[in-house]
Amino acid sequence: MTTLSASFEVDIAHLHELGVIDPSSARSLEIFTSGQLNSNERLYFSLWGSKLLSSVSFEAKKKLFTQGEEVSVAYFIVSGHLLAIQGERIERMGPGSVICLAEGLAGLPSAKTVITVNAVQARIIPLHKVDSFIPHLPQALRDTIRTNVMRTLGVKQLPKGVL
Amino acid sequence: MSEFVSVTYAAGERIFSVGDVADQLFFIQQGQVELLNAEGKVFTTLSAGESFGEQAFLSGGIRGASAQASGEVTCLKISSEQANQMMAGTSPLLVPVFEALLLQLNMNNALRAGNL
Repeated sequence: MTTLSASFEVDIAHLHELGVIDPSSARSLEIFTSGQLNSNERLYFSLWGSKLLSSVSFEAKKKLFTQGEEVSVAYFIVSGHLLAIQGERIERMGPGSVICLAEGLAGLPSAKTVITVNAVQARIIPLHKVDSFIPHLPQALRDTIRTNVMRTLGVKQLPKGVL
Repeated sequence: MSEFVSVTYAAGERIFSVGDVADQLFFIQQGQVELLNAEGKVFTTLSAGESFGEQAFLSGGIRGASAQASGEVTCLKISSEQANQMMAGTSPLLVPVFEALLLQLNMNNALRAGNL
């Protein structure tokens, strides 16, 4: 029997109740700017509607990452659910989850094996493009990204030469 | 970063609260800052050289956590306008990358807390 350790997802039912059902509709944008969405809902809405990220679909039971594997792409989950497995620990991730972005930016392998539970729609975050512009950012922006990557990974330092 | 304002907070002083409009980003120069969730529980402590309040990079961002000085702390404060000036001319991918990174940070904090 599978025992979950933790779960995360943005409350899509709440977004639908508010009338946010399409990221590009005038009504949805009105709600977005009205301040009715919490922090995670705002981030979800913005990434959901981003025209800069391409889409991808996965069928159920598809392995996206294997623990220890090099990370070349990260995903933002629009819909569907996944399991992330690290030893005895199993986490359930739903819409709004972001997988392997901080690991990819830090040049670290995937800490977890990630498998879809059902059909998943996601946006692709192309790490090779991100890696190419980060060295040219102002120092304050690079420091901010570095701090956030460390906080996300729960570490106090990154490998030398990274970020 | 010399063009940014340096500000000192007394021990226990609230820097911002959950739900506030995110209009400033902070870099800790000296001391420590605690971040608290909506229930008021400290979930991380940040030290010199680290930043917090990154929602200021996003148009109309809302604080997802509160911040308070652990002891006396000095920070460099960067306004949303200054942050946007820094971002102007950079890759348009930077905004969704920041958004996704903040979402992954919030996700990992929730997963570490072990909520079900």
